[in-house]
Amino acid sequence: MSHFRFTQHWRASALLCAVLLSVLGGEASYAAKKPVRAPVVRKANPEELLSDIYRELAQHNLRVAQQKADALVEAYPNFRLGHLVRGDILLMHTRAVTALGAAVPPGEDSKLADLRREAAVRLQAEPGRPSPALLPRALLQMRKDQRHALIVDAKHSRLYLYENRNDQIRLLSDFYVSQGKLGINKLKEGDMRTPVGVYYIIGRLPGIKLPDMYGKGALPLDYPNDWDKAQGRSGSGIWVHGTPPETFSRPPLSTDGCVVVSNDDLNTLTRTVEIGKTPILIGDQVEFVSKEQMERDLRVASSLVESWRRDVENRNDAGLRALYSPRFKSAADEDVNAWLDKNRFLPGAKKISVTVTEPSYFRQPSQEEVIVSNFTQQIVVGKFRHAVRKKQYWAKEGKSWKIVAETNV
Amino acid sequence: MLYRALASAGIVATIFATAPASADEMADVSKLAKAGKVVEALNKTNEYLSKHPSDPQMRFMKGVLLTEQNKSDEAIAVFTKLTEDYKDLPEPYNNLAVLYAASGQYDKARVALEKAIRTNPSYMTAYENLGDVYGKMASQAYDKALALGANNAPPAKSKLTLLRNFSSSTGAKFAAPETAAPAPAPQAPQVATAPRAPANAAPPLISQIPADAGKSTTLQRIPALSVTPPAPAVKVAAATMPAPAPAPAKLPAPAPAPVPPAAKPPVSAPAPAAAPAKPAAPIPVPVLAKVEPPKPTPVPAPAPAPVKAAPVVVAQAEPAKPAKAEPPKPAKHEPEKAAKPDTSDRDAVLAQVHGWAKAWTAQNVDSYLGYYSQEFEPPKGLSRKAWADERRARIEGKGRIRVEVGAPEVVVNGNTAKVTFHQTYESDRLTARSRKTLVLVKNGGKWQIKQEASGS
Repeated sequence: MSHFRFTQHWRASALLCAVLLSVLGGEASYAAKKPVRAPVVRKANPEELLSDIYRELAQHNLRVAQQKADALVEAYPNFRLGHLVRGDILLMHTRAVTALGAAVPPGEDSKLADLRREAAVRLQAEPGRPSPALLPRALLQMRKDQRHALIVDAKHSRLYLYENRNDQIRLLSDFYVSQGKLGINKLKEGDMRTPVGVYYIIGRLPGIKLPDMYGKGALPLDYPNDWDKAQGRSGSGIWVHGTPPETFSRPPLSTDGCVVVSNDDLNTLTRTVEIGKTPILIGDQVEFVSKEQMERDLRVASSLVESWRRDVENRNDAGLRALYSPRFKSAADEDVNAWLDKNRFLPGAKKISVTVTEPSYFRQPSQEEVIVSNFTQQIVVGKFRHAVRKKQYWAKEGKSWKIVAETNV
Repeated sequence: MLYRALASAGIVATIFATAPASADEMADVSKLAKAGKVVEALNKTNEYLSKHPSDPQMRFMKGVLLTEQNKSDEAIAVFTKLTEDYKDLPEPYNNLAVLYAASGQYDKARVALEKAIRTNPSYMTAYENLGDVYGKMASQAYDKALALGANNAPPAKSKLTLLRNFSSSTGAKFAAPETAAPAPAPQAPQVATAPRAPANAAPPLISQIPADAGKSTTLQRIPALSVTPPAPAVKVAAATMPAPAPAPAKLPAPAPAPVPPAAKPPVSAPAPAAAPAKPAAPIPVPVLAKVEPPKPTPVPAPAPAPVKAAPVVVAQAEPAKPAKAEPPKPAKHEPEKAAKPDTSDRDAVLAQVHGWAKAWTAQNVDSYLGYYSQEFEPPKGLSRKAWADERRARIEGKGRIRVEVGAPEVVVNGNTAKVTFHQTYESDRLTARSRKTLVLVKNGGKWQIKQEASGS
């Protein structure tokens, strides 16, 4: 005799959930390829648990999904999205669930929309994670002593933590982040946007000294940078910070411009970053490219600085001036000529030598193409020696790259 | 992935009280199937069916064998036909669902499973209650998701429905004068069934019990179907018979929708029913299991397999053969038809009934409750208030409800009227058809509901 045997749960609702999954995962691919994980050992975070639950649902394992959802909210009682998904799973036992938050009572539409957005970006995290073979195009070259770099992918609400060791960069971890209510491209104070650009972590503020809403602490950024200032962008107090005690995470678009991570993630970042050294690149065009592409990009960037160095060394004022954009403005609001005059050493000297050392090159991860180069410029004129740390912002104007901002650090 | 292959042996529940004659054949077929000789088994099945084309057990077996051969379409045809011929067997529905689901037809699978559940009113009530519990838990989860916790009102009173009676197919029946909750489902069948004459009843009742219910490995939430050689079943049945009155009286209770013919018989003999019932069910809230002495596994709730199998059996027995044997039709209501119809009263009564259904559909609870007389006797010994609160929670708690009154029959007798009709109840969660009886009384020229009973 024989009989049918069902693997446990097989219900129409489980299938609907699979549909839901696919809806959410709709645009889940950018440059990244496979979700091959870097061998980082870390306790399962709620996001991974969430993905796991969805995997179970996709395989019609409703009961297992239920158990995992129960465990998830028990472990992270303030993870609202976890509760939402658990609610759906409970309903799935007896009815079809066609959307996330299927039976949320009316009147909470905006909160529900927020949670749905959060679910969408969180569920994209794993498929969107770049393969280890690919490198973040923004980190063209880090200085040796810069051990880590952060990249905020505003489009996917993701923060990538990279490690730089032995001239190799490697993805250590990535986190869900919330950004400004109105997205990115901060222009002025109070516009509820997160800035786009290349910044540095310039401090550590322990949570105990801050209001609750910052959670476990904050890492201030140097917004506005020179290029922002040259463009008249205003505002201040852009931080990476944690979440208040009552919630594990915040909706993707919910801050006044800060970048918000969970308190667990903030603790990780706080331990990792080095003040004044760790760059944080923010934008909506975070790309992951091959090593070859990176090398090509780097050659372009370094040849820009090299041409600048040569012109300085050769006292080729015309050539040098041509490297600067008409838009150029110094921090002191000087134009190109004034700036170059100020930076000219011993105009009478016949022979000078200029070297560029310890360079770093970052590509702003945005539509607007900007390369930020940092280097030490050494000038030797006879017995006179001068060294200055420079930061240049090169922007692509038409087909050529021009310096739009420059400062001596 | 929906189901694992038809593996090894499993639970066996004889579903049909078939003639013992088929026992050997069944055993042979089962043996062949078990040995993986599906083709031979199928041949044998076909051979048998050519002689006994209507044998449900063998037909069922055929469906299973066809499924094993991946002949889904043919298997679907077999099971579909079985569901048509034996509307209250859950197993064919279940297997249909498996087949539909395997081919991605989840809507059909869902419908089939709902029908499977609906074959037993108690399960349906349990199922609905389970749905309510899940719904409640979901709502709490949503509150947490949306951070509503604090400002939210305390959860409404439970709207779960208490079963006051045993469903026909679950075990003995008891008279249930008070009527089960009027709620949506064809809930507790208040089938007043008398423990029938054992002599008569017994043979058809032969029910089978899962021969090897002990094999827990195979117990599933949705019990897989299987077929058992009738032999053991018969034994069980025998054992059952001597048992005290209540047990054997598995009358076909009628309850829920799908079993119209079977339903009727039990209804007769309302009076005696009440009496026997009491002793048997001393406790008002009998656990289903209690009454099922014959079953090996008492199974309160979760362990679906055994429970299901058992009741089913009972139900089947009836339609299959017994039904014919004892022409059950003496429906309770009929005799009373003597009453002289008075059209004006009749119309007024009907208008009230339709209005009542409309208010229910509109989820207008105040209006709905207004159709009930002060003399209304709430079921389960509830106070009027408790009952009204429960109804309110039940009705307002649904996303949508549709109630239809079909084929009403009205009998007016002075200031009392009895209306019997087919009630179709649909909510976002379930669809149920049942027989409903309302007794209305005229107070100050207005007809109001005094009693409500579902079931046949």
